[in-house]
Amino acid sequence: MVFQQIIAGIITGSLYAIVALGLVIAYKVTGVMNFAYGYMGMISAYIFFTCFSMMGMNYILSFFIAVTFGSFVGYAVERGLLRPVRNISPASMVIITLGLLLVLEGTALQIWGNNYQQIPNLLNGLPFILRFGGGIIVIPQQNILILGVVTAVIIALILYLNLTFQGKAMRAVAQNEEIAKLMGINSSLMMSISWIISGSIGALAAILVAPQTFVYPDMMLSLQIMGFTAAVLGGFESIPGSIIGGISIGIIENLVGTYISTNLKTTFSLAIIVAILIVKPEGLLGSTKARRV
Amino acid sequence: MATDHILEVENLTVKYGPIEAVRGTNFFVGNQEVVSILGANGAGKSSTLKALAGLIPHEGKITFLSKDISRTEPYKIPYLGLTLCPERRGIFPDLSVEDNLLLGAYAIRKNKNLIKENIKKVYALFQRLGERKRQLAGTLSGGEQQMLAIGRALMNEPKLLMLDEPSLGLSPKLVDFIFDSLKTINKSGTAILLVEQNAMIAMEISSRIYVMQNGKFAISGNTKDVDFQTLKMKYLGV
Repeated sequence: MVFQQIIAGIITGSLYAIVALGLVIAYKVTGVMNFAYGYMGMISAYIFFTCFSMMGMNYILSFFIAVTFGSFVGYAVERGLLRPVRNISPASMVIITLGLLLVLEGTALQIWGNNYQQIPNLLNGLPFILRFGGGIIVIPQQNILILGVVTAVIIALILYLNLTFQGKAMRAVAQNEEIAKLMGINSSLMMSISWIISGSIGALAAILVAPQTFVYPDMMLSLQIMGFTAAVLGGFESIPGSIIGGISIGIIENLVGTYISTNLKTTFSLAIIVAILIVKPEGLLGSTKARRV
Repeated sequence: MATDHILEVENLTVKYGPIEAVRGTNFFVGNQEVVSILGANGAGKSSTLKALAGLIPHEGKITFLSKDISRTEPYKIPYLGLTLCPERRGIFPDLSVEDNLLLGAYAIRKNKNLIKENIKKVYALFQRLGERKRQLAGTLSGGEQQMLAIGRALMNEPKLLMLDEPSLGLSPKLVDFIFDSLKTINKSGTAILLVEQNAMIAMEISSRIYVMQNGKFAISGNTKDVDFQTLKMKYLGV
């Protein structure tokens, strides 16, 4: 029973982790906390729904169209909305992203209405069943898919940032934009790329979670909040921190939901996180000094 | 413009709001020459270099290798062979020593063999960096960070290397070592434009100097013609 809940927690947590990752990469490179992040992904889930359920395209093609659309949304928001106002205060930037959230929500409502739309799982076969000792663990195939895709995204991102020239250049821009320019790095291009990555990750998360949440304008609300929390727990600047933060929250939430109260699981998890942050304000893997002011 | 000048600056002006930090200066750097801009704190030296690197808005004409770079975007300047080694080093603390050097070669990133060669050259010049290549740059000592900043600036083989206060915060022994290295770098064919508060050490390696006061050059000329004592008392405030 405990193991079953921990496995379920890892699956939910892995979704929190990639949402956190998408938020953190955009934040590190451009310094913007994107409160519209989940809602940008939601639009892509609708694009997927439109391609797959309304137009009858195949699953993989719809998936690629929706993720590509998500990367385009990321690019457009950074280039068109945030870059022109780069010099205003971080707080004003946050307000702009909150405004964007409302615009996206309204747009989705206008185009697709308020109904809960269904997206099927890609994998619908029999769940995997593991037996050991007296216990039994059931893992639906879709969850294996989620875990596989999330792991692949995380590995790809870590390799990109640590081994490629462009990835290193992006980290340089995150650490010191002016000095990066002196090296010949086009920092504006790096900012665009970071939002393209962030946008496609957001779309991916929305499509993966859609079979459980259904597709509707506020479908990403809880995932976005938990993704933010995971990022904060991880220190908001650290990629491993976001992953550990996301998975921990997923596990805590599932255990609280099972053994204490389903209704209180969000409240309880957030309380635990507040407690952790009181003890360690910089987050699990955050640095104690602020790099980007 | 004389053909042996690789850098020619005409009427350079830098303003911060109503304050003029640099007020219409004219100067040049010859091929393979070492030139210093000296002056007290706040005289406009750093602003001059930042303007040349394109980092701050400026007026006037900057010609580098017969090309007008007055309006060139900052990230395109290293591709032309003009590199600034910034004040306070500006290394990337969360990247390894070797990754810092690699990023210095960003402008020549297509040429992997040249990058490898240049890394070897930097390690030959600064052995300490070779010993610490896997270490995070933020964990280096001040002197090592300065070596890294200079090594990184050399990675894209600049024709003109600009340095902003390389002696800042270093012990006299390390300052001597850094300036010996600058001599070596210059002998291998790189021109140097140096901004320094430490006038004595800068004059040792420079063929010409410009002394800056309130955004203008008060004195300019061959180093050997300038009397150090007068310079010190009148213009450097030390």
